[in-house]
Amino acid sequence: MKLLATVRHIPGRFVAVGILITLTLGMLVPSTAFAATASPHPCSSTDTQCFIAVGNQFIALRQTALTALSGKVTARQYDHLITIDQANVLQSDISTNQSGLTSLKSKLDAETNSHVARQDVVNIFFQFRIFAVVLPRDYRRLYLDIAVNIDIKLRSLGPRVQQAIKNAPAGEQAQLNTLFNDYKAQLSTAESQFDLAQVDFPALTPANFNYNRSTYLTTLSNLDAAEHTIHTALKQAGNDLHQIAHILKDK
Amino acid sequence: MTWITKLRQRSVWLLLLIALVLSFSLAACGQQVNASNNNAPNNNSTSQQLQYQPNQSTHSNSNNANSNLQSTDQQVQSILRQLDGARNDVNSSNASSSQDNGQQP
Repeated sequence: MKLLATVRHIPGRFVAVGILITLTLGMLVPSTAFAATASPHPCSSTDTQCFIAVGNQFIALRQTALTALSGKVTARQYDHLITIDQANVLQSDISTNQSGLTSLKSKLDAETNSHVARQDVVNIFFQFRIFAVVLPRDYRRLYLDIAVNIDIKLRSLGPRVQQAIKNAPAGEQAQLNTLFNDYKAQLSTAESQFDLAQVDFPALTPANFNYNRSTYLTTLSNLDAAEHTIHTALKQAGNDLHQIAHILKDK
Repeated sequence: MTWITKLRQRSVWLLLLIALVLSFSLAACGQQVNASNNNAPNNNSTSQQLQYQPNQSTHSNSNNANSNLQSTDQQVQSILRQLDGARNDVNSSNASSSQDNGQQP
């Protein structure tokens, strides 16, 4: 009774404002929740247009990410960090996925049945796995290509470094040779991982991700381990070279 | 001649003077812009020549060999930084991989 009496004394404009705020929040909260967490069921089962709209958003996100990767591949090619052939392999894969998504978008846009439209949206994930498989795999391949070329460059510097060490004062030779031996050892370590890393790529497919997840994850883990070893070794070789150059400076 | 007529004449002269000063200023600015545009390619070619200088005297003596090694070292450090960048891209792709997991309508 007390509560009713209190409510009755609230001015009408406060009630109106309260109702407005409640309605606004009611409209805002579900839409923000959908945007933030991407609820697994944002569309009603019969809402074809909703599936089309949501699917187009998912496709656009993936196309943008693939275009960004393509730009990086082109940039690294212009930097001469990867060869044309290496760039072509990556661009071909990007192009295949972009074409596939474009075809799927055309199909989705033309759907009139909500169940088929929903399946098209599911296929954006299930068939393509752009974020789960394609981008992680291709960025790793780009990394490996760059690493292989850096290794070739560092290996080719060996004779010049050796000659510079021979011309150095006798008192510096021991330290320089230790660094140079480590330089060569680090390059050998990196090179021992290249083939191991290369064989992992064919198993990193959407099909394995979907149906053979443990194999997929093991392969990805092996590739990561190989690339980690390569990275550490090349950085250490670079550090050795830097120290050698520093010692030989002004000699 | 009344004082109003004199005042009008002085105003006209003042306006003409201001217009003259403005036109000179604009002309001077235009010349400066042209001059800086003409200088731009020259500056570039100068910097390119400076960059190429070490390579012109390659293999002449051991000092030059050492200076080449310094320059090579700088190049190597630069490409190793790009390798770090490629590694960061791999890590970023890992971070966004969850966008394909269980996110279906």
